[in-house]
Amino acid sequence: MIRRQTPSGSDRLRILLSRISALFRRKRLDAELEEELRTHIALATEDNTRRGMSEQRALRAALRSFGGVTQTAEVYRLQRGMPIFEVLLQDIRYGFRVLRKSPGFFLIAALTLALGIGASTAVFSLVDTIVLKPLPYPNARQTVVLWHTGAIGSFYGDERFPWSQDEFRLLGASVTSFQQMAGFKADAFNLTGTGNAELLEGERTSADFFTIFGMQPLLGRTFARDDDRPGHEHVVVLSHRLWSTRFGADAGIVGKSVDLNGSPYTVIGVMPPRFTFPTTDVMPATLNVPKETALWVPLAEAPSPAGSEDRGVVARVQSSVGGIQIQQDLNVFDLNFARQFPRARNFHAVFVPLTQQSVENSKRPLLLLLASVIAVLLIASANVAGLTLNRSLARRKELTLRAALGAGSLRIMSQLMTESLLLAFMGGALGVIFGVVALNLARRYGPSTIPHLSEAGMDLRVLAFAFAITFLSGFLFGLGPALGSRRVNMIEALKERSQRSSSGASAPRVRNALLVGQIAMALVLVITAGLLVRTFYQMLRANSGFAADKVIAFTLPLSPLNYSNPDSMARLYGKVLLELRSSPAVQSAGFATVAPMNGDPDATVIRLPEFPTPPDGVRPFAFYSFVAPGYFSSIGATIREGREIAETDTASSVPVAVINATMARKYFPGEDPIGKRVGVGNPKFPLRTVVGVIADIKHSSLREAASAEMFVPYTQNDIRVWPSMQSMQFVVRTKADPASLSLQIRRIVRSIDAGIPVADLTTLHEIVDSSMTAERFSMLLLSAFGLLALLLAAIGIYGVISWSVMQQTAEIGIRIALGAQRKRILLMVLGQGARLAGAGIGIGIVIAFATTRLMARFLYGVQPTDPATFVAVSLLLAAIAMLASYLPARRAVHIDPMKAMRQE
Amino acid sequence: MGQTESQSKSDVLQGTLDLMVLKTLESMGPLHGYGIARRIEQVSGDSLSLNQGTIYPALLRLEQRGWIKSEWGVSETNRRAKFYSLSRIGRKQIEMETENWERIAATMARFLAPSN
Repeated sequence: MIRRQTPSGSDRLRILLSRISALFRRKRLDAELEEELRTHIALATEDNTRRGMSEQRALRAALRSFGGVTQTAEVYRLQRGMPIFEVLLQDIRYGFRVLRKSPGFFLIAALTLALGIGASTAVFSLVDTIVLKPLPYPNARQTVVLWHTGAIGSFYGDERFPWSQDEFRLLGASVTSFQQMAGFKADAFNLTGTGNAELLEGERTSADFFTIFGMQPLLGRTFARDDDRPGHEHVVVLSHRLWSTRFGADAGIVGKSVDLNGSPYTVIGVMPPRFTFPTTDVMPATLNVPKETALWVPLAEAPSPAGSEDRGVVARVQSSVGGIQIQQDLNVFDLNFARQFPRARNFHAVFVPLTQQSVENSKRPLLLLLASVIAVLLIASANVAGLTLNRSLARRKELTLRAALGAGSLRIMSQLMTESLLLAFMGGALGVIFGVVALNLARRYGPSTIPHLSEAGMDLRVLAFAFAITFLSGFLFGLGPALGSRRVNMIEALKERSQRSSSGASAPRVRNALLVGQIAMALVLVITAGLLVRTFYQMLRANSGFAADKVIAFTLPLSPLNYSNPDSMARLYGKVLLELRSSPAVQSAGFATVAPMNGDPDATVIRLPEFPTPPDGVRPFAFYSFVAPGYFSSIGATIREGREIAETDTASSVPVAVINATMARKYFPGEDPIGKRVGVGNPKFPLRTVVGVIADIKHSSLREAASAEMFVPYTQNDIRVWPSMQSMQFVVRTKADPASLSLQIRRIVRSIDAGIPVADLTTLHEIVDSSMTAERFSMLLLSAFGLLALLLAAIGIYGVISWSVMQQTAEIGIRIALGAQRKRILLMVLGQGARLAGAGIGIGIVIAFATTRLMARFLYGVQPTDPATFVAVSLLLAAIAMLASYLPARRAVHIDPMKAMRQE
Repeated sequence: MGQTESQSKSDVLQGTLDLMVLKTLESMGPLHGYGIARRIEQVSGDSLSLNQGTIYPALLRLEQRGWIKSEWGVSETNRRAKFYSLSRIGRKQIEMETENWERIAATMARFLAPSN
C-alpha cells in the first residue's frame, strides 16, 4: 500500500455526521444522485454528438466511458449512509409490511401483549411507589421506630407493643446511639370557636419529633424544647389539610389562637402536605394512631409513674451507627428495664427502620399481585410465542425462497427477530396506555389503607420497566422462530409440501408445550383468584356478632376541661341516651367504650376464682369495656345465655358483667358461666357476677379470631381512672332510613351541651364496608387477572387448534371423502383440544397445590387447597378449552373434500 | 459487504484521484462531475484510463470530509447539474495533500531509479 487514506479525527466526525444525516434524507439523496448521473451521461452524449457521432453511438460511448452506472450508484450509496442501519430500517419496513399483510395475527398478538405488559406496568408502578420508594421525609433512611415485644412463643408472640411514659424515659436514659428520640401518642382534640365543634385526631409529640424526620414546616416553626414543658404546651402545629379546609389556607395563621378542648392554643406552624405522620397505614394495629393526623401539640408531660403503654417512639440514628450497635444499646435497656420492672422481664426492645415499618402492612398483598401479574405476562408471552411459531411455519416457503436467493441465515434470523421486537413494541406502547388507564382506576377505587397510592403513576422508572419487559418478551417469543429458521433447508421445505399433514415436526411440539404451560399457569392464577373471592364471601358471611342494618354509630368526646369526673361524664351520656330513646324514629339506643368494628378496647389481666392460674402460666387476660343498657340489642348482638346489661344494674346493685362466648369457652369450659365470678387483676376491686354470655363481636376485621372479652355496666365504674370515659361510642337502631336521623341526633346533642362535637357519625354498615376495602381491592384485581388469564388461554387454545385443523385440511378432506362421519371428525378435533387442556389442567393442579399454601395468610374460612375451588376452576377451564376448540372443530367438519384435495 | 473488493482495487488510485479532483477544482473553479472527469482525462493526456463513474464516490468522500461543497446549477448547455467547488478547508488541504503526494512520488522514484 502506498498510501492508505486515514481521515483525521475531525474528518471522522464530519463523515459520521454526514452519514447519519444521509440516513434521513435517503429518498431525496437517491433522486439527486440519479439526476446527477443522468446529467453526466447526457453531457457526455452531447459532447460525443458534437464530435460527430450518431446519437446512438454517442450514448453508448458515454455509457462505456462512465463504466457501470448501477455499480457506481451502489458503491456511492454504501459510502454515503450507514449500511447496518439501512439493513435494520429495511428489516423494520419489511416487518411492517409482513405485519400489515396479516392484520388478524397482528391485532391479536399486539393486544395480548398489551394486556400483559399493561397489567405488569401498572402493578410495578404500585409496588415501586409503595414498597420501593422511601417515605418522602429527608431523614427517612436514618429514622427507626422502637417497639416492645414479648419473647418469641410467649402469649404476645412477636407482636409489637408501644411504650409507657416511664419506659420511654428509661429508654432515653439507656440508649446512646440515637441523635434524637421522640415519643408520640394519639389524642382527640375538640376544635371549637369557629363554625361547628369538630373532633380532630391529633398527636401529642416530644419536642424533637419533627427534627427527627428532617421536616421543615411550610409556615412558622415546629416545637422547641421550651414548648415541651408542662404549662407551656399550648401551641399547635397544623396539618396542611386542616389548615386549608378549616382555616381557608390563611397565610397569616401563625400567631393566631384556636380553641382546642376548651383552651386557647397558639398556632406556631403549618406542615407541608406530604407530612401526616403517623397514620394507620404505616403503623401496626397495636399502636393507636389517627387515620390522618390533623394537628400536633407538645407532649409536655409531668413525670408520673403510672400510665398505659400508649405511645410510639421514633429515633434518628447517627449515620455512623449500624444495626448491631443499636440492638446492643437496646439490650442495655432490656437489662435496666428488667431491673426496674422485675415482673415484666419477658419483654425486650426492638427497632424497625421506618422505611420498612411503613410498608409492612401493604407489602405482602402487593407481592401477591406482582407474582400474579408476572404470571399473566408469561401467559401472554406464551400465547404470542405460539402465534409467531405458527406463522413462522406458514412462512417456511417464503424463508426458503429468501435463503435460496442468497440471504444469509444470520440475515434471516435478524429479520425474524426484528419482526418479533416490532410486534413487542407495538404491544408495549399500547400496554403503557392500558397501564395508565389501570392506574387511574386503581387510584380512584383503591383502598385508602394503601399508603401513597395516590402518588402511583407513570414515571421514568416505570417506563424503563415497561421497556425492559417489552424487550424481554419480544426477545423470548422471537427466539423460537428465529432459531427455527436456521434449520430450514430447501430439501426439507420441498418435502414439506407433500407432507402437509405430518405432525412430526418439532415446532408443533414446542407450541403444544407452550399451550400446556399457559393453561397450567392460568389455572393457578384463577384458583388464586377463586380462593380470594371465597375468602371475601366467607368474610361477608362470617358471624360478626351484630346486625349492621339500620344502625347509626357516632362518638361523643367530652372535653377534659368541662368533664373531668367520671360521674359527670356518665350523667351526660345517660341524658343523651334518654333523649335519643324518646325520638319516635329510634327503635333502641345504647353506647359502649368501643362500637363494633371500631377497634380493640383496652385489655386487662383478670382474676377468676374458679379458674386458678398455674404458677408460671400465662395469667388470664380479657378485653374490658363499658356498655350501657340497650347496647347489645341495638347492635343486634346474640345473647347466648342469661341477660344483657339492664337499667337495674346501678352503682348500688350487685356488680355484674357480660362475657363473650370465647371467654366462656376459655375460662368456664363445660360449665355454666352464669353466676360465676370474675374481676380485674387488682384484688382491691370486687369480683363481678357473670349475668350473660353474648356471641363474639368483631372489633377490627371480620376475619379476626375472637379474644376473651368482658363488658361492664357504665354505671358501675368502680376503678374510675380506667377505662377512660372521656368518649363513648353510641349506636342507634332506627325504624326508618338511618340517613334521616343524623340531623336529629346532632340537634339532640346540641340541646344538651353545644360544646360537644358529634364525631364519626356513620352507619355500622359503612364501618364494616370500609374495613374490607383492602380485601375487596385484592380480590377484584386478582379476579381481573384471572379473567385475563382465562381469555388469553382461550385465545391460545383457539389458535393452536385452528392451526392444526388448517394443517390437516387435506387429511380431513380425504377422511370425509372416504366416508368418515362428520361427528368423528368433530370428536377428533375436540379430542386434540381436550388432551392439551387436560395436560395443562393436570400440571396446573399440581402447581396450585404447591403454591396456594403460600397465600394462606390472605385467606379466611377457606383452605388453600379448597377442593371446591380446585374442582370448579378446573371445570371452568375445561369448558373454556372445549368452547375454544369447538369453533375450529366445526370448521373442520365443514371442510369440502374436493376443495381440500385441490389445495394440494 | 462487497465493498472491500472495489476498495482494494481503487486504493492506489483513491488518494491520487482525490488530489486530482482538488487540483482541478482549484484551477478551474466550480465544475460539475462530468467536467471534472473530462478535465482529468485531458490533463493526463488520456494516459490514464479512468472510469468516469469512479469520480462520484471520490466526490462524495471529499464532500463528507467537508473539503468540497456542492450546489445545483445550470450547465453551459442549459442542463441542471451539480457543481462542486473547493471549501476553505479544502483549499488548505491541497497544500498538505500535494506535499504528501510529492514525498511518496519521490520515494517511489528512488526505488525505481536505476542506481547501484
